[in-house]
Amino acid sequence: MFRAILWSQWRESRLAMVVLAGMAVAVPLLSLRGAGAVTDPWASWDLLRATARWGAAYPVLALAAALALAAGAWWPDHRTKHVYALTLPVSRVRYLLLRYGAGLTLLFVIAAVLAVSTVVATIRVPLPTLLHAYPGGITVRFLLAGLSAYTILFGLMGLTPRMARLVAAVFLLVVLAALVADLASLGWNPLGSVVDALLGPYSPLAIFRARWMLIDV
Amino acid sequence: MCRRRLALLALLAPWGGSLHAQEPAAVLQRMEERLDSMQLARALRDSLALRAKYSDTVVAGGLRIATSARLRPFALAAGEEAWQSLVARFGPSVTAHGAFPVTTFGSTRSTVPKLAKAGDLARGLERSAALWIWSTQGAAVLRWMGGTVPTGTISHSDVGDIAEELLRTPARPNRACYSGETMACAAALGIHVGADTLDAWFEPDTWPRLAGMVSGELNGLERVARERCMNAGDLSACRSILTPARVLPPVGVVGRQYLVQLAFESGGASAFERLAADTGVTLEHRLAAAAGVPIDTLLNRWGASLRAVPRGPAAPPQELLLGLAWSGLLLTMALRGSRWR
Repeated sequence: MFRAILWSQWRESRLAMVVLAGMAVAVPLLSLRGAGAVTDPWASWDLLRATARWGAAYPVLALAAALALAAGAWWPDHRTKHVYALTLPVSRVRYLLLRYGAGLTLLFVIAAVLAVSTVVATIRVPLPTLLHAYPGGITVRFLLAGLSAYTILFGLMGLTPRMARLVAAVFLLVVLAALVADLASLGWNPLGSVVDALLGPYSPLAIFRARWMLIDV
Repeated sequence: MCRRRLALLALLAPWGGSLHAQEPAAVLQRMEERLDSMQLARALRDSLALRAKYSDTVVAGGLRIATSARLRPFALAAGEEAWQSLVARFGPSVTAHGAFPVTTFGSTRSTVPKLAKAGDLARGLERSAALWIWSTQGAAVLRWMGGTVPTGTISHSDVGDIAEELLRTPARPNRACYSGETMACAAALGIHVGADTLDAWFEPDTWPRLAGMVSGELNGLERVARERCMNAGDLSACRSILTPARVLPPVGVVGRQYLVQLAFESGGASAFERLAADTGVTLEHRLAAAAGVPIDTLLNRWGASLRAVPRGPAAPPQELLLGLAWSGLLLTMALRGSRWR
């Protein structure tokens, strides 16, 4: 049954998968493209600057993968009004776990592609002394960020229309409260507080704010 | 034509006569007196406006804050918080070199936002008072820190950035400093550099690119010299551009501030007093006096703390656990959702 669901997930998100896998190959290779010889006094400068500049691409890639896979996990059921899911002789929890697992498997595939690409990119570049390559570290971080975002988006996309409306209403309320607080000069921004809570040091999305350096000290 | 000339002469006659009668010095003196009285009037007007704007003065320790009666409690709370922090940072004799200048806050019309925190104002007050303390008692050290007063504590992540900067910048002493050579760190931090700063910091083959990084106003000759340096590799042209004030320092302001922070941590409550005590000695002696340890020890600590910061994107175990825990929790919530029930 897992294979059937994995196949349906693949069918739904294969275009996104190919694009994301292509980006997973391209980002590390492009980020280290201009690396010069180790003897160049500016080698470390150029490498670290390029790595920092391209560092933002990894969390964006993780978020895009999570979004595409979460959408792909629910889209077949939303399209067929959940008739197929309800006719299956499995419990709801098991079915959802299978759907979640299928998306997760594809996320692992993208992470594996990224791992290979980062290893190849860092092998090709001669590193100045005292600098280190972190292909494994960046892959683990990508996987964790993708997992957190995928789980949140999987939960959000599985909401009933009523719950989805409720979530949207709460969000609009927060935006409205932020506007009112700003106009009344309350010195408090609820939208900022929500964003801080979502990206705070112990939040599920905290990892997106971490350092994403393929080459570092 | 003749009529027109006559009319013009008739028009200019009164002025011409009076101007001719006055000595230029007397005219200038009268104009200066008039200007003085105008400036006095403006000062009086400003003073009256200020008195109308600020009707109360809050005194918190050595801090004086001109404010309105309505804002008094808020300003007092912030002032006291700022003063405590200043005493903790600079020692109890923080006002030894005279009174702080009066700071202004709000006006008679201003109100405190309902959710405003006194801590925010306290930080602002502390920052301006700290700048005054540094500029009056530690001007040389302040200049060395690029005119930026250290605010708050330099974080772990900032220390990591200093380490990265040390290895990124192609300065002569940087790698040796990172490997633990104290004198190299002193050179990288600009504490103990020879007469030729540029040569002590950078190899000549890096100069053309460094010249390209020089920002700010350059006059025509300097622009030509920069072009010659960058395109033809003319080292004398490079030298004329890369003055100590313009050249990229091996370690930036934050790195220097971190050394001061370490000196203060090591020196305890009276560290700043010792730093400010003898302005006649070199920077390294003043920092060593503040820290209460030899400069080598202080620089060793600085280098060791840079090397101790873990770098790279490897997820630490707590980050891994946190990510997995959140994912587990959110997945459980998603599985227990109301769809199909």
